[in-house]
Amino acid sequence: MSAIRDAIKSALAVDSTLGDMAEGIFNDVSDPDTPLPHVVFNLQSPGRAILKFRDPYRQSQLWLVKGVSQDKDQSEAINERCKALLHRNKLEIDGRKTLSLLIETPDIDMTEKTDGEWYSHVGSTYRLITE
Amino acid sequence: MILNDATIVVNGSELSQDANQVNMDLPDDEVDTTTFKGGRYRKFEKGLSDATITVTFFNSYEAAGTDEVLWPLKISEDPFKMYVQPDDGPPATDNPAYGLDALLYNYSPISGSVGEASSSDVNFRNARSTGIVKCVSPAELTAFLAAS
Repeated sequence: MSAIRDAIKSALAVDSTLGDMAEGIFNDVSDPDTPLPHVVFNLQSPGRAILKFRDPYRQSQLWLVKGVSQDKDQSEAINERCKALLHRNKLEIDGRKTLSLLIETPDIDMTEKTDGEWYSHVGSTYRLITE
Repeated sequence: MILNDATIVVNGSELSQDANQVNMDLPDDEVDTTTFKGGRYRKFEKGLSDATITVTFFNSYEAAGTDEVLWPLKISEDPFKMYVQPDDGPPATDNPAYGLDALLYNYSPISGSVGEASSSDVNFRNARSTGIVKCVSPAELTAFLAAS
């Protein structure tokens, strides 16, 4: 799991354009001390293993990658950049092979109000199949 | 018996690592031999037998993968040897090898839609009158593989 997490983070972190758009890339939980905007990604569904008569098994996972900002335009721009970086990417995962990484649900849009402040979350889910 | 580690060997190449389903279909013709004044029920006898082994493969184009092994057999008209076992390991009474002199039918090198695994249900059908040969020892399997 950590190898897949690292691979997704690397695929995003290597891009200087995204680096200019977001102050940080986080798995699961943002760092509250890092100013917005953020890229936050997490595993939405681990999926069932796809077994064969010999290992390695295949794994189909659903990941959510989103932009978080108090400016919706920024969140949307981060989402667009992440789609460009991840959709059809052949992630380099230590110990596993990427068979497919495709966008599954584009442009999920959520708004959160915390302590009187509004936060925009715009992201997409991606189906990652590895072996 | 849970089918976890079935063995599938086709023309000398093990393809178990690319397969997730195997089925042996061994029907016999049912020949109606009912006669006049034979009573109320029909009577049947066994006729000719048939043998088909169907394997579901995830298509692979790597060295020693499914396509490298199966495509030459698909376009060939020469029978080849194959066998399947319910488990890993040498043939034994609790892990018999079922051998077949086969021809390959219904191989689809590319099959599937976007984002899905490309897989193929491959039919191996008997090419000789010997049909399925059950081997319960390495020696029996060796003899089957050596027979012409």
